[in-house]
Amino acid sequence: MRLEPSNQIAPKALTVWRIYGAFNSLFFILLSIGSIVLVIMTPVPMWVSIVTIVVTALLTYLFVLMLPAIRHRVWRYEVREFEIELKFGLLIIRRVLIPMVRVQHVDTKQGPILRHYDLSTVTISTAATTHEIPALDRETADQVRDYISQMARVTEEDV
Amino acid sequence: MYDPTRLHPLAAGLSFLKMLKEWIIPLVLFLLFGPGSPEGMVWVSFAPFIFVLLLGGYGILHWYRFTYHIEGDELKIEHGVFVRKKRYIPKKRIQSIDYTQGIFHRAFDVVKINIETAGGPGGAEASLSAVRKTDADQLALALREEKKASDDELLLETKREEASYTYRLSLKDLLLAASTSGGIGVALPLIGTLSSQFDTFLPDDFYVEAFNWLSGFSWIVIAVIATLSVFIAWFASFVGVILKYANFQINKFEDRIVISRGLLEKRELTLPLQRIQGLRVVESIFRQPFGFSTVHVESAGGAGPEMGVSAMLFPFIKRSKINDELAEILERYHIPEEKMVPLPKRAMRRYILRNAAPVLFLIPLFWFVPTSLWFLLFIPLPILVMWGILDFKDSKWLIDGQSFYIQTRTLSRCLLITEKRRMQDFEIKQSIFQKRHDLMTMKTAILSGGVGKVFQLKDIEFGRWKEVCGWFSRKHRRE
Repeated sequence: MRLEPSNQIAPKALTVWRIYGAFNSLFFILLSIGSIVLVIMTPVPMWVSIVTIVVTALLTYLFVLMLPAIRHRVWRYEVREFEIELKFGLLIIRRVLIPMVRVQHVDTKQGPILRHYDLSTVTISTAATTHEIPALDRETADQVRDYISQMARVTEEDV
Repeated sequence: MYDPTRLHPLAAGLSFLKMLKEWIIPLVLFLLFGPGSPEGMVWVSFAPFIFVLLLGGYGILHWYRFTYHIEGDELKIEHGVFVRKKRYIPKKRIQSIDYTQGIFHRAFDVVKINIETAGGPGGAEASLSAVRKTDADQLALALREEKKASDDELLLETKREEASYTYRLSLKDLLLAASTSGGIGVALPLIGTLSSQFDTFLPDDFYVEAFNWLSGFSWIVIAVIATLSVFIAWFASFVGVILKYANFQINKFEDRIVISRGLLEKRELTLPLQRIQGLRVVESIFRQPFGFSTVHVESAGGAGPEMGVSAMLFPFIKRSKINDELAEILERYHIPEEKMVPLPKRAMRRYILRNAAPVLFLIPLFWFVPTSLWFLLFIPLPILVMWGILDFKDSKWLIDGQSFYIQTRTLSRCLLITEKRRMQDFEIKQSIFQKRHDLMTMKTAILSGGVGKVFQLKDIEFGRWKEVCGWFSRKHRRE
């Protein structure tokens, strides 16, 4: 057993996650703008707005810069002949082994943002669980999907 | 039988009752809290009755449209009121034909026929909800006969019909099982009665109105009511278990086990051996001190009335006898004989903290409860800490050849027994807190009636990850 699965996910995944993070922090940015408006228009004290802005800045930093970077650094996958291994997580590092014989089907999918960067998500389903490799460039994703589906078919076995 | 035949008319009544059961709560709610009969819309108050009539009509239509017959070497079933559905089942693929009988069935001497085929999960299966007993026997004969004539598996087929081993639940065990069954059933009214006592200590404007009537009774009356309600709850679960598990019996055949049970309603469940995914040995706190346990079997959805549920394999059995019975019935599975791997000592603190954490929710109560009664709020803490220690001590795991074992405790102690080839995936994970203590969580999922069931064990020694992952990792195809 190797220490790490060998492959990293696509570098562009980082960009995509930053975009997702930006969407998440949008809500807080709107909240800060609202708080500034409140301070100007109503007798709400200044510190309310300052606290909101500081918290927003921190969260935005987390969502856009820090967390995607950690996530990307941790994510590893490896598709071997008879099993798939994944490693990922932020606060909880998870490491998953999926035997090929257990794979029922494998899909790739793209949302609009992923499509723009020519990335795909690979979804691996067993009879009981579903696992995802979140962002591979489309060509790799298709290769991975075809390889898994081919290997899973060879190793037909009773559930 | 060779022309399209309808079911016994009881089928109409049964499907009506089934639909009524699903709608009974909304109907009662409508009658109780509905709009009544608004001006000029008197019919509204009749709506539920009209609805029930409609359900009855639907039941009759359903019966009218449901036909079955044998044509060539297929059983053909056609049904559906609005959408016509046809199901053709080749005789060759029929694996077993079971009868079940509810109380209504008995009154009319009819049976429900369940037909299972050798399909995967979601594979074809059919049931005929009410067929006269004599017709059923003829049908079963016709379906089997064809198979014999065309199949050279004839020998195998006849040999199969003889159970090679039979397990029966003794009357003594049944009574013991019934009397120790009411875990929560007994505890709930008890807690309910106690908490209603707490309420009388609360400030006047707090629920007191609702419980005012209690003060009208003396303490003795309250105590009698409490005892009685506990006894009634216990008795209800006692009767329930007797009805459910009387005549419990497991018949072992070459490739399957058949579990039958029930006093008023006889139920039969066929589990093909190769679909069994694992066992769970559960010891409730009422039974564990006496060395008794229940054993459940997880199956990847066979067919039959209990499809998709984990079924009871031994409703009540001495833990020390499980291995003897399993050796006869499911020889691949047994309780580990060697000692299971305990958790490292340093994990105990985390187990205690996790169990005791809910105490935090009590803190706001200090605000409401008078100072003289604060001691009550401290009672849960030692109990939860003890529970955490118990939880820690019972949490164990073992890898032995192809077998995999995890033991955990929530309220009851639960031991999972499964095999590597049944595990759908395997995961180890480590939170930053676990990392500090060099611990990890081990997690797996097995198939139970078409869906995944997840089992995990927290805080095992991190140093063993290479060993456990290496065990699960496939270097070769067939492992």
